[in-house]
Amino acid sequence: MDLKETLNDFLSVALSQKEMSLCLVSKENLSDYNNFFLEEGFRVSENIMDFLNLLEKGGDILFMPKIEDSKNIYDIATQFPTGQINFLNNESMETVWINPVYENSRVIVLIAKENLDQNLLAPFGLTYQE
Amino acid sequence: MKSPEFSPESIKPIAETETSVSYLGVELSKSQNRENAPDPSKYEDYINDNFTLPFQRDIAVSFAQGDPILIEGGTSIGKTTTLRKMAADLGWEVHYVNLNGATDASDLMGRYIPNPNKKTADDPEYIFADGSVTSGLRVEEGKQKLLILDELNASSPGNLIRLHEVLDALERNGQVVLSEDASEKIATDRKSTHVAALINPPGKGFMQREALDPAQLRRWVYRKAPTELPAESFNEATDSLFNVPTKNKKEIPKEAFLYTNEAALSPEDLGDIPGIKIITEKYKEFHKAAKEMVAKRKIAADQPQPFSYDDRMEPRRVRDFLCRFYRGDVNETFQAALRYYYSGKILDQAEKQKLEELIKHVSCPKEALSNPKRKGLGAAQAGSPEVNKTGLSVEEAAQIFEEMDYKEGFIGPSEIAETFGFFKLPEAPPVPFTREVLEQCKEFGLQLVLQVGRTDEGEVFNIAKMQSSFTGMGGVDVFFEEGINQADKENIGIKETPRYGWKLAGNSNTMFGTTGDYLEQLSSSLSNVQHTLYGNNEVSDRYKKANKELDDFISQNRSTRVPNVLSLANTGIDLQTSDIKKLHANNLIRERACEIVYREIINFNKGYPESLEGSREIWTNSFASANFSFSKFVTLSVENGDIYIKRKRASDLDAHTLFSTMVM
Repeated sequence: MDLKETLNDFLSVALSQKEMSLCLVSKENLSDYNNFFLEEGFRVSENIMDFLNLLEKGGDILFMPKIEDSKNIYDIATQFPTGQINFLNNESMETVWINPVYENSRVIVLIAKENLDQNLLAPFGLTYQE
Repeated sequence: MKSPEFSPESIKPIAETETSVSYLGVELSKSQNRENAPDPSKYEDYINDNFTLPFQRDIAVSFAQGDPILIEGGTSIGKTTTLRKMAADLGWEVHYVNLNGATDASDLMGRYIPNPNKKTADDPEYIFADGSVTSGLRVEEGKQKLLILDELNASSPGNLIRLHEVLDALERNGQVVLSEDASEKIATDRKSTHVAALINPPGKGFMQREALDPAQLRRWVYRKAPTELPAESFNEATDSLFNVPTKNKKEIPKEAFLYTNEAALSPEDLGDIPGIKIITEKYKEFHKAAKEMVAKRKIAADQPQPFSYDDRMEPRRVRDFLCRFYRGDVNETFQAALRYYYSGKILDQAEKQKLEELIKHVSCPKEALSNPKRKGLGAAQAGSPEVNKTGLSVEEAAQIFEEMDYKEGFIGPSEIAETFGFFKLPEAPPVPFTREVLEQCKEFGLQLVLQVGRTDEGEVFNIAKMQSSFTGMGGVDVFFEEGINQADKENIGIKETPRYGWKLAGNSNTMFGTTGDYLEQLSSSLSNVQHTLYGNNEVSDRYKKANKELDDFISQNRSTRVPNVLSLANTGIDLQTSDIKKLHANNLIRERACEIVYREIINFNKGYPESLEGSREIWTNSFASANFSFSKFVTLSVENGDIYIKRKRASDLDAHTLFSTMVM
C-alpha cells in the first residue's frame, strides 16, 4: 500500500485547519502509519502533556493516544478550534493553558479503529478512514 | 486640541477603553492581570455581525449582572469561541470543563494529592489541589475568571448536583464547602468569577444529551440560540473567508445598543421611578400570561429543552436589569428586560412576536411618567425637596422669572425648540420646585433648565446630535483635549445624554466656595443647597443619604490616607475617580458634560449672560481615562463660542464649581 499516495489529499487539506484531524486505521497497520508520518517529518507524541506543548509550537504533529486518553483527547479536540485549550492534568492536578498555532500546522490524531470511542467523531474536523 | 471624530451614528459596536470593553453598550471590566487569558490575535478573524454582536451583548448582560448564563445552541454557532474571544478582549482567565464523558467529581472540585514540594518532615504529606471548577472559583487579586461548563446536559447527575451547589454559593457570594473534605472551603465572588454553561439541544441528533430538569434551569439565565448560524451570518463569514465583499450587508441597528447606567440604581431607588407602580402591575400580568403560554405549549412547544418562567428568579432579574440599565425611560428599559429574560428563551420568530405583543403592553402612560406629585427619578428627576407638596406648571414657572425680571434664568420648551428645532410643549413635565426656591434663583445666579435626553422623534440627544441640530450663529464646535481617547470621546459625546427633567444650574460660586477641589465643592454645594437655598427645610432621604455618604467618604480618606482632601492628589486620587463617580452626591450636584453643552448652546443661542464664554473651567461628573493613564474627571470651558473638554485630577484648583442641583 502506497501510503503517500493514499494520504496525499488528506495531508494537503489538513494544513492550517482550525480543527484537529483524525486518522482511523486498523490496529495491525498502526505502526505503518506511524512510520509514514515520521518519515513525513511529523513530530510524534504519545504523551498528552507533550502533545499539548507541541500544539503551542505548531508544525506537523501526530498524536497516538492511549485508550484511556479518549476523554482527554475529546476535551482537547473540542477546545482546539476555540483559540485556547485549558487542560487539567488529573494526575498532577496541574492546569495548563495552551494557545494552539494553526498557521502551517497539521495536527493529526492516529487511532486504531478498534479502540475508537464513538464520541470522538464529533469534535474532529477532517477524518481519514483506512 | 482635536475636533471630535464622531457622528451620532459612529459609535462602535465593540468599544474598548483601558479598563473595559462594551458590547453594544454593555460594559464589562477588564482584568488587571491578563495571565492565562486567551491570546487576542487568535480572534482576529472573528466576525462581529448582526448575529454575533447581539450574542456577545446578551452574554455581557449576564456577566455584568453577575448571573450565570446557560446557552443552548448548535455546535457550529461558535458558542465556546465567542466566550473565549470575549475573554481575550477582557483579559479574563478561562477555566473550561467539558462534562461529556466520565468526569470524576474530584477533577472538578479538587482533591488531596501527595505534596510534590515536601522537603522537610514539617511539610504536609498531602496538599489540596484544585480541580477545574475550584481553580475557576478561587479569587485572585487583579484577575477575572470565566468558568465554561461545556455540554452541561451530558453531565452525570452527581456532577450536576455539585455544580448547582457551586452556583448557589456564587449567587450569595458564599463559600463552596467541598463535601469530599469539609475542611476545604472556597470563598466565591461573582464579580470576579463569571459562569457560562453550554448545551447542545437535547436529542435532535446530539447523542447522550438529555434535557435538563426545568427546575434546575431557574439558576441560570437561559438563552436559546439557533442550531445553525443564521443565513446572513453564514454568508458574511463565508464571504470574509474568501475575501469577497458581502452584498447588502446590514448595519447593526441603533436599537440593538443597550447602555449601562453609570450611576446604577439601588433597589431602594426604584420606588422613585415615575410610573413604577403601574408598570410593575402590568409586568405581573405579563409574567402570568407568559408562564401560561409556556405551560399550555402555545410557545416553545417544539423546543426540546423544557423551561418555565420562574416566579422568583425572573422578577428579581428584571429588577436588577432595571437598576443597571435604566436611563430615564422606564418603558424602554422594562421592555428590554422582558425581551432579554423572556423572549431570549424562545427561538421561533413567530413565537417571539407573540410575546412581543404582550411586552408592548408592559408600559406606563406618558401622563403618569410626568406626574409632579411623584417623587423621584425620571420626569421628576430634578425635583426639589418640596416636590411632594407642589408642582408648578411650565407657564407658572416662566411667570415667576418674568416677575423677577430674570427671563434669562428660564430655559424651557420654547428655548429648546428655538435652539434645536424640536420640542412639543405638551411634552414638558411640570416644574417640581416651589415658588420660594425659584424666587431665589436670580440672587444666586441659578437657571431653571428643562433637560431632554431624546428628540421628539425619539432619537438620542447626545453632544453629537446637539452639534448637528444647532446650526444658528455658525454652530458650536466641541473639541477634546489631545490624549482623550476615542472610546472616551464616544462615551462623553455619544453615550451620555442629558437626564430628563427640570433642574437648577448656575455658574456662580456664590454658594459653593472658591476652592477648586472636586470633593470639597461637592460637600459645600450639598450643604448650601440644604441650608441656603432651601432654608433648612426638610430635604428628601435621598439627599440626606447622599450627604452622609459623601461625609463618610471624605472623612475616611482624611483619616486613613491623608490629612486633607486637597492632598489626595498626591496620594493616588486618580485611582479613586471611579469611586468618587459612584457617590450619589456626584449625580445630585454635578452635571454631565453633555448637560453643560446642552445648556451652553441654548445660552449661546439666546445671548444669555449665563453663557460660560470667557468664564473659568468647570467640573463635570463625566470622566475619561485617556491613553495609558488613570481616569480623571472631565472639565469644560468655552472660548469664542467653541467648547473645550479636558481632563483633570479631582484636586486641580483651576476648575471651579458648576452648581447643578438634581435635588429630590
